[in-house]
Order: sequence, then structure tokens, then C-alpha cells
Amino acid sequence: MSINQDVKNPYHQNKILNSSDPFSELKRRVEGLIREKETTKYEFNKFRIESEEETKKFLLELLEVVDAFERLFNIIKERGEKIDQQTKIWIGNFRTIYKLLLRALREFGISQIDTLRGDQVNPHVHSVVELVQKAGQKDGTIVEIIKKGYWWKDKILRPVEVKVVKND
Amino acid sequence: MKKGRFVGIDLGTTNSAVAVIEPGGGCNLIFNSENERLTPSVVAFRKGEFYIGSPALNVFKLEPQDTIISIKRLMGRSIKDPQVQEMKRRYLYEIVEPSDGTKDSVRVKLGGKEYSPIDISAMILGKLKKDAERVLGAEVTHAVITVPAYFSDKQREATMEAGRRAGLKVMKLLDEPTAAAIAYGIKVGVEESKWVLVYDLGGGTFDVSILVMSAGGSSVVHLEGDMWLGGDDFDQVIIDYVVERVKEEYGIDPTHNHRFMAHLRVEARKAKEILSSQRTAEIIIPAQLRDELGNAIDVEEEINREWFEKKIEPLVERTMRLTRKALDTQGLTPDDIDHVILAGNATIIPKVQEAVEGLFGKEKVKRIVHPKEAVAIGAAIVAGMFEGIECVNCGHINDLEANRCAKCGKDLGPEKEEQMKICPHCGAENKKDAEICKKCGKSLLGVRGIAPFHYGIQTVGDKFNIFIRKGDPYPTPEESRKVQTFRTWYPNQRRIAIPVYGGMNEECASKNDKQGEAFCILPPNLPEDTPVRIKLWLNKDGYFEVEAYLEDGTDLKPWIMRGDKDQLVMEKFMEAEKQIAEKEGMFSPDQKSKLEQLREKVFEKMRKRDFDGALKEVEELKKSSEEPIEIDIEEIAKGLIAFTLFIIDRYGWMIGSYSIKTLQNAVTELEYALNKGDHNLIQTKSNKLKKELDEVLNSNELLIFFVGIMWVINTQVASVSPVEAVNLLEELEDIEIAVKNNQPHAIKMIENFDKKLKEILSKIKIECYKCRYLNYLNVRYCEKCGADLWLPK
Repeated sequence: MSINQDVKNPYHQNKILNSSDPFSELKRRVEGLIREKETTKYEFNKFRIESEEETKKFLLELLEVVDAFERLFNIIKERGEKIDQQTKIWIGNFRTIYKLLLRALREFGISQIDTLRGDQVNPHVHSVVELVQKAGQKDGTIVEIIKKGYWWKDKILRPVEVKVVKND
Repeated sequence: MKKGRFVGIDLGTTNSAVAVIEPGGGCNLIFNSENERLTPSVVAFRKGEFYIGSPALNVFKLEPQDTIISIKRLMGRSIKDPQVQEMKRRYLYEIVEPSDGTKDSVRVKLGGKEYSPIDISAMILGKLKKDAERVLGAEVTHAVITVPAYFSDKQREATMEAGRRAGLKVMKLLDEPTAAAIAYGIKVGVEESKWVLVYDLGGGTFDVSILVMSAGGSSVVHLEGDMWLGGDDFDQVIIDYVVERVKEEYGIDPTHNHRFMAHLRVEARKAKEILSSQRTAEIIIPAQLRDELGNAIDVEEEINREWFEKKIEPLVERTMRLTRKALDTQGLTPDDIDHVILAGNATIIPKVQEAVEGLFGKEKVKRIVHPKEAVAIGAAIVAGMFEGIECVNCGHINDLEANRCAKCGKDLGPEKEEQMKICPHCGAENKKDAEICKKCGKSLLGVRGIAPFHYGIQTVGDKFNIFIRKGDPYPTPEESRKVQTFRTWYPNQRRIAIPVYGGMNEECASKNDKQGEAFCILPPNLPEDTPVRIKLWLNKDGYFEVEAYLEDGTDLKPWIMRGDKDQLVMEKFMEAEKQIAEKEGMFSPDQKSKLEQLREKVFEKMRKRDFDGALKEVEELKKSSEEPIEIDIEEIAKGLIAFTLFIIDRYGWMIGSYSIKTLQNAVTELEYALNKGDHNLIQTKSNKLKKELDEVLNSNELLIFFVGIMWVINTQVASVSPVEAVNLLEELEDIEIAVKNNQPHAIKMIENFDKKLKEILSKIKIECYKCRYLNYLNVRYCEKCGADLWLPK
């Protein structure tokens, strides 16, 4: 059957002609299809953004647990000589839980922002929260990492809170 | 023209935000490059580099003198303003009088260099623009920027200037409370006005604004506020409580422990937010404090909502006192207010909502949009709807592409060159206010007349091509008559309309006044882009004259419409062409060539200025197009059957077996009628089959899509290129298979196909330069958007 012959029949021409300009109709269809795709894309994007926001909030909360563990371990380290054998075992158990938490965060794409004491402050990743005077050191030199900072994949989740040198 | 994206910007004192209307509907705040929705309005300078937003805030402690915060408070200010003196006291960066002697202004110092508040704001806007472009993947060209309702004209102008410097066309400066009202979707009908009260409890400030909204816009009529009352005070209630508890329980004063206090501030804000949806909130601060032995203290406190609400009552009452004061000052009662809008993050507190609802009634209070985002979203909504640039100086609404206000001449975009005055004696260009020609020394005054505005012609895209500038003398001396070359914009363009406009808008012809119109007829079969040289000048009476030539010197003899017989001919001719276009595809080849011949005759007569003759031909043309088209009922029936069978055969998979059955039955009945040769029965059965077929076609979007395309290929494409038509049909079949098998690349294929099809069709039809609609060859105005298709480009 020849397609050309069949669809060229007068009935069909009339039908489409009667619905005003057939090409505008066709265009409308194509645009409709494309718009539908765009709407889906937009909705998906919105959903993605919202869930990313939620995840970000959740990860930040988890990081506070990490901070709390670390603060505790720091105190324990300072006072190490006064701890008895039994407590040491328990602390070891807590460390395991802490490591579990870190592993879970790593799975989510969380990694620490590498910062060393003596580095110069980088405003894009370091947040200066405390200052100290130190003769002989350049302004902006990091002397202490107060709170660790983290990447979430390639984006900043939380900047490193640092104490830096500032001499008047 | 490539169109950029339009955004709404909330340029705040503390934070800024950008929102955009998405193509699929909906409105979103855009993330910045630090992955935040709000960008701190802060600019810092450190070691030769500028930092904007969070990075600037990160080094604020280290470089307090080189970190500019709250620049908005300095916008449009003079050094003597008391607010500026207050700022100097509060902030560590230097605020100075401009050293270049600019009066009534201030400068801030960054890295030892002076910057104006406009410069700093432009840097912030620049970052917002850049980050938005990164996310949107397109250039951001236009923006609506919000300003506080109390901003003076000078402050508004400064904000506008900052936008321009950031490379944005500022469509409108929108009052912040109005933006919030728009974000909440408050609509007013024609001849109606509504009172809206905006209760804005931000982090550090509280504002009450009363606005009147009407169809024509909105204005803020009253403002009340407290600079030192905000959400932070509510947090402080919790902070004070926890500090007291720590003192009681552990006997230590934690207020000197900065790290603990910083942690507590964050926890207090969280608790406040939790209490808005839950009865109790816990504050947990582990291992930030130590007892006297050096052991870690974990602070844990529970706060319940009743306690919190009792504590914040005085604060809420303070805001309500100001709200009532705002009403009283305006002589209004709560009943007069139609809508109340809650803005600012602290309005999430239920107690605050209750207090406001108690005064105005629950149904009037709106709180849907996230309060922090409302202003930016309102701005984005306006940016999405507003189709112009509102001049900050005179309020005139200009075209979206305007660089200068058409009414007052204010710059809206990048600087443009200065207007020139052409010397009538030697043709030299002089400054527009010159009285004597700099070249020949002759007077530029004393000529018969001076053009009162620019004269020019409209071309494709509503461009204004100026031939005569305001202040040019007339009659235009022979030697300074300008010739400009335009081009036809599609092959075989036979008519060129030359609409002449006069006015001061240099960008957009139709924003000026139409002075008249000229036409010329081109020889047939000229290619696209054929140059047409047009000369326009003013005669001794100040009227325009037009000449037009082809490159080879052929005089096109344009005639200027004088509103007589020629006008009538033109109108009738356009009418006839439209009628023909509507029936396109229905004429037999004989009819087509007859129409073509008649059209040539019309052109011929027009060229000879024989308008009486032309009118006769036009009427003939119109009559020919009205001749009935012969229809043979049996032929139609046969065609209908063949078409139905074809549809079943090829698209049966989309139709469903029930419908196929119905169609087959209708076909059988019609075949029977045909065999009998009973014309009445054929008619009835044809109608029945037509109806069934219609139903099937209309119930399936995809089906009608494919059938429609096929028809277009078979008629329109096949008439110019049969080879192309066969190729397209094959490709269409591939798409159908892809769709049938649910293959995801089908949509891509359809898009590509659509592009290809349009390309081919654009050779036989004219694609409107404005809206891309494909028009029939001879119509003058685009059927969809009304653009003039006879213009040159």
C-alpha cells in the first residue's frame, strides 16, 4: 500500500485543514511533548534539591556527634594517666563506635578538609573563629583547628573552624 | 535574538538571595557556589583578592577593617547623615568622604582603595549573577531587585546603578513588602484595592508595613519598626535560661567560654525552630565545658513550649504594640486590613502567629512560602511577568532591550555614544549642542527647520534605523542624505514595507510615533539577503521622502501611502492574501497558477501607480480564491476507507482492539453503501466512519501527532522535494518503532525530526522572525504574534 496515496486523500486534508492551521497543531503537540519532558525534569530537579537539603541537614547533625566524640577523646588523651584498665577497654569500645560512624559518613561521600597547623588561612574553606597574637608568625597562620571541616563530594559541607595568628 | 534568563534578587542588608521562575512552573531559590541558598552580603579584601559571601565572612575576624558588611545601609547616603555616623561607630571598616570631591556621598576603604557603596553592591550582585548563571547554564540578563519601602529616590537610583554595573538590566525596583505580598499570591481585581499589612520579624529587626495594593501596582503607606528587636532576642531567652541552669548545676559561669557560647547560640536557634512544631526541645552540648577537675560536662536541658511562650510574651507584645501603632497612625482598625503577611524567620513561632491572628482574625493571616525566601520569590515572579524596564527616574516602562529611557533619557544599560548634529553645509559631524560647525565654521542654526526628533524606519525585530537625528536641519541637504542598506530576509520576498517612525527611542521603532509608510515591489526570484538601499530625508516642509534601489541601480520606486486609493488597494490586497493563505493546500494546480498570475498583475499595476487598475485586479484575485472546490462524494468515501485501513494497519498497536473493530465495522458498512451506489447512504455511512475515525484520532495524542506530521510531509514537503519527503517518512517510521518499543531516545528523535522538518518547511513558508511561527508566504502580519513580515532586515 502506498502511503503517499492514502494519506493524501481529500477527507484527511479537509479534516486537518478544518482544525485551522495543521502545522500549528503539530507544533503544539511537539511543544507539549517537550514541555512535559521539561516539567518532569524540573520536578525531578526540585525533588533532588529538596532531598539534598534534607541530607545535608542530617549529615551536619551527624558531624556534631563526630565532634562530640572527638572532644571527649581529646579530654581522655589529656588525662590518660588517671584512667584504669577497665575504663580503657570501654574507651576502646567507644572508639569502635566512632569509627563506625566515620565509615558511614565516608560512604556518603564525606571527607575531611585537609588542614595543617602552620597553613595560611584560605577563606574558601577556613572560617576564622579565634585570633591569637604570636610574635614571629605571619598574620593568617593557622595555629589550631578548633572544629574539623568536611567536604561532601566536591562541595563544602562545613568549613574548618580555625584559630589564626593576628599581630597588631 | 538570544534571550537570557530573568531573575528576582533580594539584595538584603545581611543576606541576599536569587530566585528564578522555572520553565516548567514553580519558583526556586538558586544555590550559590558555596552550596547555600542565602549569600551573606559581605565583601572582604585580603592579599590582593576580593572575597564575596561566606568566604568573606570566614575571614571577617582576621580582617575586620577590610570586610564590608551591611553596605546596604550606606547606599545613597551622604557622609553627614546621622546613620552614617552611627555606622562609623559600629563597624570597623573605614567610611570616608569621597576624595575626588563628589558631594553627598560616601566611600568605604578596602585594601587602602576607595570604593563607593554602589561598587560594593555591584560586586555582590555580580557574584549572585555569576553563581546563578552557573546553575542555570544560561546568561542572566535581566533582574528585578528589591529595596526597602523607605528607600529614598537617591537610594533607589544607587541600587539601580549597582545592578547596571553588575551587567544586569534592572527591570524594576520592587518594594520588599510588596514582593512578599506577591510571593503570597495576593491578587487584586480591576477597580479594587486591598490593604495589606506585612509583619516582618527578621533576625535583628522588626518592621510593620501597611500597603495598598491595586491592579495598577502597590504602594507602602506606613512603616513602623524596631531596629533592635528580632528573632535573636527570642533565642536569647533560651540562652539566658541555659546559662542560669549551668551556673546552678555546676557552679561555673559559661559566658566566658566562647566555644560553648557559640555552640549554645546554634542550639538555641534550633530549639526555637523545634518548638514551633513540637511540645518540647532538647539542648545538648556535649563535652564543651569542664568541671574544676578537668572532666567533661555534658549540658542537657529540656525546654517546653509553655515555658518558652511565657518568656517571650513581652517581646511578642512589643511587636503587637508597634503593629497597633501603625494602624492607629493611619486611622485604620484591624478590620480594615484585608490580608496580613508574616515574613522573617522568627514568624515560625506559633505564639507570634497566634498573637497576629488574634488581632486580625485567622483567615486573614498568610504564611505559606518560607518567610526567608518570600522577598526573592516575589521579585522572581515579577521578573517572570514584567515585560519591560521601568525607569527609576520617571517611571516610564521601556522595552526589554532598551538601553536608555525613551521618556527621560536615563541610562538603563551600557553607555551609548553621544548624538551628533550633521552640518548642512559640509556634512561634518558636530556635537549636538554646537551652534557653529567645527569644520566649515558656518552656522548650524538658521536653517529652515530642525528635526524635532529622530526619523527612521522600522525593520525586522522592531529595530529603529535612524536616518535623521533630532536637531538635524531640513530640508536635508543633498549631500547629507543618508543611505542605509537593508536586506530581504527570505527568498523571493516580493513586497517591502518601509514604515517611517519619529521619536526619541533609539532602540525600538514602535515605541515612537508612526509618521507614515512606504511600499515597494521587488522583482521575482531574488535570493534571501538581497541588499536594498533605502534613502530617507526630509523635504522643505519637514515631510519625509523615500527612495529605494537594488544594488544594480534598479529603482524600486517606493510610494508613500497618502491614505487615499492606494491605502484601499493595500488593505484589500492584504485581505485577499489572507483569505488565500487560509485555504492553502486546497487549490488545484490550475487554480494556483491562476492566482499567481493575478498577483503579478496586481504588482504590475501597483508599480505603475495605477491604483484603480490594481483595485480591479485585487478584486479579481479575491474572487478567484473564493471559487468552490469540487468534491466527489464517492471519491471521498474511497479515500476515507483507504485512509482508515492504513491507520489500522500502521497504528493498530496504539488504538486498541475495540476501536479497531468499530472502525472495521464502519468501513464494511461504507463499502456496502458504495457497492449499492446509493449516494444518501454513502453520505450517512461516510459521516459515521468520519465520526468514528475522529474519535480514535482525537483520543490519542501520539496518533494525531504522527498523522499530522505525515500529512505535512506528504503535502507540503512533497510539493517541493519528493526525495526529502520519502526520507522524512522513513525517519518517521523509525520514530514510531522507537515509540512503540518504549525506547527512551524516542523523544530525542522527535526533537531532531522536528528541527529537520522545520528547516525544510522554512524554505517553503516564512518563519516569523519574532515568534518562529510558520506563516504562509503572502500574508503581511504574522498570524500568531502580529509581527510585520514585509519589513526588510
